[in-house]
Amino acid sequence: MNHDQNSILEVRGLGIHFGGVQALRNVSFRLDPGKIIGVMGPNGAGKTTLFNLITGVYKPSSGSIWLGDQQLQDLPPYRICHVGIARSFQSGRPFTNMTALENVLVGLHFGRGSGVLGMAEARIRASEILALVGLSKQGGRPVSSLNLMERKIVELARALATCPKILLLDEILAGLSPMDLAPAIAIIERIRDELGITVVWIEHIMKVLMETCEHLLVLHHGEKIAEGTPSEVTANEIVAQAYFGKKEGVQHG
Amino acid sequence: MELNTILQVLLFGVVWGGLYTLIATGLNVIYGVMKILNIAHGELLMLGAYLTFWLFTLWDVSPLVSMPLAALAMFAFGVIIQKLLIEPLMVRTKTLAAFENATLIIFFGVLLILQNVAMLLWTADYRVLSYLNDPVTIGGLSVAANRLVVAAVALAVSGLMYVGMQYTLVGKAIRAVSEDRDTAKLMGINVKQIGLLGFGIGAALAGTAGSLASTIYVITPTVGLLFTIKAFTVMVIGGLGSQMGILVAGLALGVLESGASYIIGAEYKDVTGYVLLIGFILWKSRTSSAFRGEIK
Amino acid sequence: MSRKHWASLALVVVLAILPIGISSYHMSLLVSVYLAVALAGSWNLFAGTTGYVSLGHGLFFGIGAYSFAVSLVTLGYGPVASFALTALCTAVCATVLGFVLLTTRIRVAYFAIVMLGFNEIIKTVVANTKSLGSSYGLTLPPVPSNLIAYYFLLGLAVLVVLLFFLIQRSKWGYGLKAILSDEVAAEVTGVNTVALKMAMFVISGTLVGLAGGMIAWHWSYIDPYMAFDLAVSFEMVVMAVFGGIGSLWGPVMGAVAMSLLKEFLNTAVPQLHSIIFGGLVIILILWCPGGIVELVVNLRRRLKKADATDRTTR
Repeated sequence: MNHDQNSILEVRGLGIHFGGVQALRNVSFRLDPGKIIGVMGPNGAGKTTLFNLITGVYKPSSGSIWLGDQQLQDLPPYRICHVGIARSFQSGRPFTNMTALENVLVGLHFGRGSGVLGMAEARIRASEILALVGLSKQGGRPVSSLNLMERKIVELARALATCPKILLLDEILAGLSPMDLAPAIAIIERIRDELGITVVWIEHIMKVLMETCEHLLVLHHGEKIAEGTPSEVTANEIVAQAYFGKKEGVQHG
Repeated sequence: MELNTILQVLLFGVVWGGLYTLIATGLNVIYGVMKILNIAHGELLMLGAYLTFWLFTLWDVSPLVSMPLAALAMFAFGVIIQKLLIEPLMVRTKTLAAFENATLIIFFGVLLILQNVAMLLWTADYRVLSYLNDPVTIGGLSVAANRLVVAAVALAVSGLMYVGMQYTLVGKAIRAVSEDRDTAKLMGINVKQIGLLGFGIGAALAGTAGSLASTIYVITPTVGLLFTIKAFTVMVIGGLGSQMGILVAGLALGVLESGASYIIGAEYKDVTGYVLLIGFILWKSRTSSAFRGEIK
Repeated sequence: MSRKHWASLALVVVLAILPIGISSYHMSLLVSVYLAVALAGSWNLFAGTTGYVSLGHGLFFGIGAYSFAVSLVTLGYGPVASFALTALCTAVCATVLGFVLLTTRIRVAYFAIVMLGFNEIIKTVVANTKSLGSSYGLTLPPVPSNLIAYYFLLGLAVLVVLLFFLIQRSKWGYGLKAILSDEVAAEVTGVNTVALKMAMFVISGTLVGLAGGMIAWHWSYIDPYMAFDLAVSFEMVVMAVFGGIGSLWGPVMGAVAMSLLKEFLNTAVPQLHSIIFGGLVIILILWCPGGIVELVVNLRRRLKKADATDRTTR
């Protein structure tokens, strides 16, 4: 993938409040394309809210969101998908009234770069995507008959089918058994390596983020409290305080 | 406009508003406990009204005595409906959407049956109950005594419902099931029984309202649907689940209707409610996230 | 085309030549069946695809009826022009309504009630408008031939089924299924949910409106209580759900079954027909909440099982 100006996701002074609660306050960052960037923070820090804002599900109360030189915060979610940002949901939300293949077809027919595909071509392409994520055998099975890991991967495949430049993953590892973690992480790394997609990844399993991410953002109480490489972030006192209330650095594992 | 006229309009508004609140409360209990919209609710009201009418006409029974009888009769009826019709559906349908669709059909069937049974038994003739029609004067306003009674009773029963829901064990159980059915189950609440109770209470309230309404309104087999739609209006505006909200919304609807009737004309009285409802829903859908479909 | 397609085509051809040999009573019966199919199918085109249960869809029936009547009688246009005008009028109303209702993430339950409310509002407004005949209604010139209603409604019914079939197999079909499953997930996957819902709403409403126009002409008379009768709204829903909401043939079977049932009961037990009808509806939905379609699927499964065990026990 060409990493041009238009693959840079930037957020400036982003803020949103619900009723009296300021869920996000003055968050700014600029993400280099083609990397895996981790987003961490205690529960309620505003991570999913951030994703909802970027994908247009929420409208911000202040600030702006940019992809390259295009402003995103006023666009409806489907337009943001067309611009090149895809996401997965925390609870894993594939379409349960379809098969795995059909889920991917929705992404192909309606995502970015759609409209040129005939029905037959789309089916072939969909099979390819399922092969990429290791779900070739499950293509024809209804999603309702798949287990959690498979469902989450279907959702991931669907997101990939929309040809994103940026992929937002919201706790994709949540609920997976320890055996499934390594294959899932491998898929994500492959997405970055083979497809050149920028992955922004919310996760609670810090060890995983530390080992796979090249860059980290730390949120707490709706604010960005730190940003940097994993070693920089772990040495950061503010981060330690947020997580443990201690003044020493964060321990691994 | 004179002060007197304003007060008169307000008073009528309170009379009907109290009635709407009562009906909406019943509907709300049913919705809360089962998450279904009982479109046949007005038919239960109609039955209560006819019961009161016939007891009065045939045996001179005072509506005030018939009222608790109607409440009890409708309670039983409500429990039967829940047991025979709704519970089997809960087992047989696999998704919430399928359940909702199926119950919609069931209630439609109930509506058809009740309306036509009433038509068969009692014909479409307008029935009017003359009870406490003599005007009473309060501070310069003249109003028929029965309207005052209706207002007082409707508000009192609504108030009792509120107290009951807040402070009794059963009331708390009902609220728990309405808010979070699964957790309520885990806490040991017998959701099935609450379902039966909920429908019974909702039906009883409809019967009570019907009994009251029979003294100030005309009774026909088709009188129910209009009240159902108004009760929905109040329930939605007042906020599903909020007793206070329903009280305010009910009174507001009554007063607005009364005002509209005076200013524009009686034909547009009912329309006010719908315009209000629609305007409210549309406004709220654009501004409040609670009114939209889930976002997560 | 597959065997099923040929069978459907054959059916349509048969229905098209039927008028030659049947009595006017039977023709009239078929007309009401075609109307039921057109209405239930149109409702299903929107509600069955998007999941938005519209309880006041009959609103478009009334608008169509009045548009046609006004065009034919008051404005003096010919029938063809009047139908065109009816379609236009209803489409415009549906578009406006759709903009107001569908451009926000309104909850499905509220949508149902709001449509109902709109039906009542427009009914009252029409009943109080002199130029529309108030509550006395409007009379229309009679239809030159019985065949017009027959073929118009047959055509409409076929159109409705065909549209559903084509849409389901197209890429839009996937988009609609996505909306049905999870609207927000559909949005972030690039589906323009608002546009799709609007499109189905307008198509559905327009078809219902055309049916209304034809019926107004067929009956030579309309008034606000007939045109905006809630029974029309309710029966559409019942027939579609009864047959199997969201499927292709479900609403058709539901509509056929129910209108024939109603007719039978009406002639057999005129006094009690509504009561028995209500009772049957209840019993049938209790027995098979998924509708006739589910019944058929279950039957097939049982037959397959029986077939399989037959072979193994041989």
